[in-house]
Amino acid sequence: MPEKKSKKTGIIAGAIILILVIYLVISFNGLVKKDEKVNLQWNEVQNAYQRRLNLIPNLVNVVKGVSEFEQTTLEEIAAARAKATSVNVSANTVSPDAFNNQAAAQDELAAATNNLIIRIEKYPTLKGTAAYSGLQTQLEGTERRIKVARKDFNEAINDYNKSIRSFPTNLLAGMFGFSEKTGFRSDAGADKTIEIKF
Amino acid sequence: MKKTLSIIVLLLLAVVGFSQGQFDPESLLKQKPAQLVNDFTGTLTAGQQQALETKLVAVDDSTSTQIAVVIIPSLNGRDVADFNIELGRAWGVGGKTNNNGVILLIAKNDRKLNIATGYGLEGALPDITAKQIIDQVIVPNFKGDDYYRGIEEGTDAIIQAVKGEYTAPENYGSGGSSRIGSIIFWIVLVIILIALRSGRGGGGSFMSRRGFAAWTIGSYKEAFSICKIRLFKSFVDIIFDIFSFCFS
Repeated sequence: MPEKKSKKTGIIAGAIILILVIYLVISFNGLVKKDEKVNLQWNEVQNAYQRRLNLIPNLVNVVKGVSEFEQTTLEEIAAARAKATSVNVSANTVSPDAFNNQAAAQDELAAATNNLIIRIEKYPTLKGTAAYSGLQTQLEGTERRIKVARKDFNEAINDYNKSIRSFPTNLLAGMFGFSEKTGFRSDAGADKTIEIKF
Repeated sequence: MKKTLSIIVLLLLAVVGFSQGQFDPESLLKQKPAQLVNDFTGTLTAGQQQALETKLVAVDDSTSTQIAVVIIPSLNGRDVADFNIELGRAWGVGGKTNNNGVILLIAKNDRKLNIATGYGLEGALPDITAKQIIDQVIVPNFKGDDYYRGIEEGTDAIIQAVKGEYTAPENYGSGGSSRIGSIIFWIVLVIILIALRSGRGGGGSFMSRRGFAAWTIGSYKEAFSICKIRLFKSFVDIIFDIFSFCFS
């Protein structure tokens, strides 16, 4: 009988170890997946911002057709765009500094664009053109995408941090060098950026 | 008597709630529908709904692109485009892998409508095309109060735009998630059998010597060995799943 018993305990121990290993693998992969998700959403934010950067020159070109348009507004927007383009953001490393700098530069650009849109109100003929209304549609869609992408990014960060902090994944995270991503303005409601509005 | 009374009261409440209560768009996010055409206003007749549904299901079946039509009475002050995106994500229109879904959302009393496009279709149906479809195809019909024709021609224009972007994979729509169910089934079965076995104190032979329930134990042992094979198979499946999960 004792032989049988030890065999039984052996099986049980083996099963427990197996379950532990499976658990480790699953939670490790979960962390990897969440980390990847952050990178993915980061890229989405980049794409959405890039879209805005691509559309703004078109808007400026539409306005340039009007000869008496205030040049200062256009210069302001060109400067803001140049600045937003020059913000160095790497696609692979998600850093809070890059994120916040980029958001600030993009906010400046959005403010300058809003300024331009207000000036355009004075030119009803310009507002009525197909080119302008097409750009309006595209920019509105882009703004919506920026909003969604930023929200998704913040959610991905929060999700990742939550599992890094909670037990027992935190032990695993410590073992494999997953660290918390801090410094992002990821609290609900804190993410207030300037939107281009028509 | 009491039961009938409570049913009547419930029905009355439902009627009152339906006629007086404001339509709550938020509640829509929680209930994922089974069909592509969802009219919460009674604008379309049953026949019209069926015709649209058939057309859109055919598109879904052949291209995996899902085009949903949602008609609600009011947005309760929500922005039509924002709400439409939220709706598409909550319902998962277009699936997760390709994200090739489109929703035509119509808020009838607000006189607002929007076409939301999934990521996978932005190339084929950019915002600007969606706006053209709304302005040139749908709105003129709606102005003449011909909602069905507006939706019919609008969905045709959407189908035209997204045509050729995707083709449905071979086993599309047949549903392939029965595997996990079978694994769980076998695990539960084996656990029950093990519990039964230990409950008898490992005394199978002792009981059969007494001539007690020999048949039960014999067939049970047989069943157990079959189970073990099956369990092993599903265990291999699990390991395989874990590995494919690891390396995917």
